[in-house]
Amino acid sequence: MGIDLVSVLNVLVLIGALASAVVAVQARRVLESIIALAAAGSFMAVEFLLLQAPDVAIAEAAVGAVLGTVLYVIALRRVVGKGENK
Amino acid sequence: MLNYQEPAFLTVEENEQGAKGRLWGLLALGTILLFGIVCAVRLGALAPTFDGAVDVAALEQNPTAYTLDRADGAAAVIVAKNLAETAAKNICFSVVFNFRGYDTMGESFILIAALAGSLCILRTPKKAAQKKAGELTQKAQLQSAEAENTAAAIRAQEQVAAASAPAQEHGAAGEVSQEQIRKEAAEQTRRPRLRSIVVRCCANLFLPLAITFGGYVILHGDSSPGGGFQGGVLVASAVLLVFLGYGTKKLSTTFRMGFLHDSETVAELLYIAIGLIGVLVGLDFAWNFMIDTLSVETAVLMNNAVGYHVMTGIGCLLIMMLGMLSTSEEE
Repeated sequence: MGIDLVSVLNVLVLIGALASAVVAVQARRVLESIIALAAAGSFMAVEFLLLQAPDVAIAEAAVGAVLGTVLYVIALRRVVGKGENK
Repeated sequence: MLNYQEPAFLTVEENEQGAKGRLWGLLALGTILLFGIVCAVRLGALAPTFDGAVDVAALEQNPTAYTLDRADGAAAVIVAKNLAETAAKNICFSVVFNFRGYDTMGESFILIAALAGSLCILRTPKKAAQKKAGELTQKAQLQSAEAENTAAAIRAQEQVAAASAPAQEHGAAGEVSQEQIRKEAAEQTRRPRLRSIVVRCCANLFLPLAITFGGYVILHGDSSPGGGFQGGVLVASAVLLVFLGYGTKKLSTTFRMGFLHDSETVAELLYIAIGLIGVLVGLDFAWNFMIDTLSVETAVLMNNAVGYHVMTGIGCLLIMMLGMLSTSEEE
């Protein structure tokens, strides 16, 4: 089995997705976790694109990387309170 | 940039059990990684079902010209069946809206259920607070002495709540400085906060781009990747851009949430009605066929209905969430 560009990209993207997932679990602050989760979502979108599923890639990029992050940040601000005055 | 204090219940406690759990977690993740790498490399070696070399426009003229050499297994069956039985140009599109028309309908209902649940949960506190306030005033009319006591208690509670955040920083500070801090905080919330001009200009620039691109993705769902759901989310991001540029007050004046909420229901009914056309004609639910008088396929109309549904539903959800953010700031 020859090593081609797609395989190498696959491996790199998977490692990136897993690394950001680990960071999301291990991060001290919740905001860091949220950003790491968004990064994992973006990596997954690229992986879907590599596996020839552009429909799923668009949905994952829009929902996993943008909408989910925004809702998490809103929820965090609601729970923690207004932080900008601090 | 969000600077916030980590509340106690969100921080993770360090102990031996935690370290052990972390070891197991890393082991499990490592296994998943190895498995994923092996699978991905093997998958990459397989023959692709669609390699981008197919001319869609030519296929539209002559669907039987599609060769199954590069397609394999179930995909070959689906492709052959799809091209023989439906008039769709894109296989993914016809799977989503014809063969799995019921599934798409169920997914739309998930969005409706999510919105209804959010409405129920997020709207209760406001009403409860109003009810409570009304009860308190009634009580005050009946029993003035007792009401004074409760009012005093409420005032004291408010004072404590307002002063608690700054008091954490100035723990040793006296009552006078606490009062001052509270006044300052109140003034800061009263002053209208102007967003940065860079953010506003970026919002102005990207708002038409986002809406146009979202509309393009919805309307071209039948011949290119994308479709109702993805395009709808892109259009709904306009809500986010307005919020980022102009804040929650402008948000509530720009969008009418009741209208969005009604539109969502209308879109779902439209989807079902268009799907039912197939039943009335004698085929099947969500079957794709040409409406000659309009020269349009039913699947395309269903796709547009889903786009309308998602754009209004997600927009409504976002407005609700962002509005919750503003009420928490007013408190």
